[in-house]
Amino acid sequence: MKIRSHRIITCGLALVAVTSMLAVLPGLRSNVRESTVVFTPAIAAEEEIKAEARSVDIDGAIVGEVLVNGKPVLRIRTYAGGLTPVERADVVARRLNELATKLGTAKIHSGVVRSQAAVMADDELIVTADNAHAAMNGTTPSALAETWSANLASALGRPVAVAGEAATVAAVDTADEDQDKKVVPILSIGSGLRVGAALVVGPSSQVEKVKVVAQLEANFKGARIRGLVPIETESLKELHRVPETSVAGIADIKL
Amino acid sequence: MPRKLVAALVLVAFLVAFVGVAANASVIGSAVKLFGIGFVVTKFGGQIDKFINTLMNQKGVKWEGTTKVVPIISIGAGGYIGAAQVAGAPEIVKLTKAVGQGEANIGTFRGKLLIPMSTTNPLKGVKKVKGVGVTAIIDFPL
Repeated sequence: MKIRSHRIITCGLALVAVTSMLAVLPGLRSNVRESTVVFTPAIAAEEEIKAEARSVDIDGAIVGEVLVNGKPVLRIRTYAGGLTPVERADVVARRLNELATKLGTAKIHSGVVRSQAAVMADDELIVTADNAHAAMNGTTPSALAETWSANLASALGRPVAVAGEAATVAAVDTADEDQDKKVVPILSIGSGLRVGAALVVGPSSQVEKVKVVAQLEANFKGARIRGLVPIETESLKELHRVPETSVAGIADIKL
Repeated sequence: MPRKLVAALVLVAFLVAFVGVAANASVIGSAVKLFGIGFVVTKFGGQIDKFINTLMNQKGVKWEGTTKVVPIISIGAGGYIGAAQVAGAPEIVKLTKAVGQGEANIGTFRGKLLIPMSTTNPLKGVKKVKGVGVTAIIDFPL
């Protein structure tokens, strides 16, 4: 009996611990935002890509500058691994020349390598943007990596597309060419007041009928529910929902 | 104190606490704090969905197809920030795993875009599900 009750407790506690872990894990996703700068190859692979390094005097400090096809791409300002800034720039230039064939078609982007922001060609590392350089440029390592990626792409003659949150959202949003959009007020059914604005989507013929989005508020076991219904009149006495339309965005502003 | 008695007391205390929490009106709020939004949506999503549909039916509102409650995930950070009810054709609603939320400026609209997705990890790419719309937003007390 002693052994059985001991086992029951142990099993029960283990079950609670495992359940908690499994439930909490999804919410513990990294909050690190990875903004990547993505470029579409726009030059022929056979075009020559030439990278070189040179020494530049900036305010009395000797800086190593990396040029691609004669255009400055980045500057190395610190010593590391026993190398001077110019020697480090030379290492980067040689790496770019080694990747010359690949650079013609590779996706140039900023990413993270061993927890450091970096400029990459597909999955090949070109250079890391460390904290020291970011501080000297008054920015963050990821932003500096994006800038260097943009410079490299520009030197290679490619268009620049920033794939951060806003660009991703906008790009995804424009994918539905057969749908129309409209911004309308949100009216609270409880108070009748305008409590925000909503972006309504659907077929053009239906979206044009939408006048407001009615907001039904309720509480369910501690969760606040806001039902959003696109309707064709501003009267909230009866909700005449416009079929085939729904809410695609909300803004907490008063019109 | 005998081990058996201690074990029984611990078990009783656990059961009382659990029942107490369950009986509490803010059970979902407590669950969110303990286990996170993902767990709550999995556990209570069906009940929330049914509650919303009942609420809507009382107002004479019905949606085409079926509905489902999924988590809202921040497109920029990848974190779970709430839940949403989506509606559409059954086979398309089934594909919908989450709603991605991102800040957007589209014309005169400056706010939060809600994008039904077939993935719960927008950091690896937002896979939009077409033909599904957001019909309700669920906010959890944090």
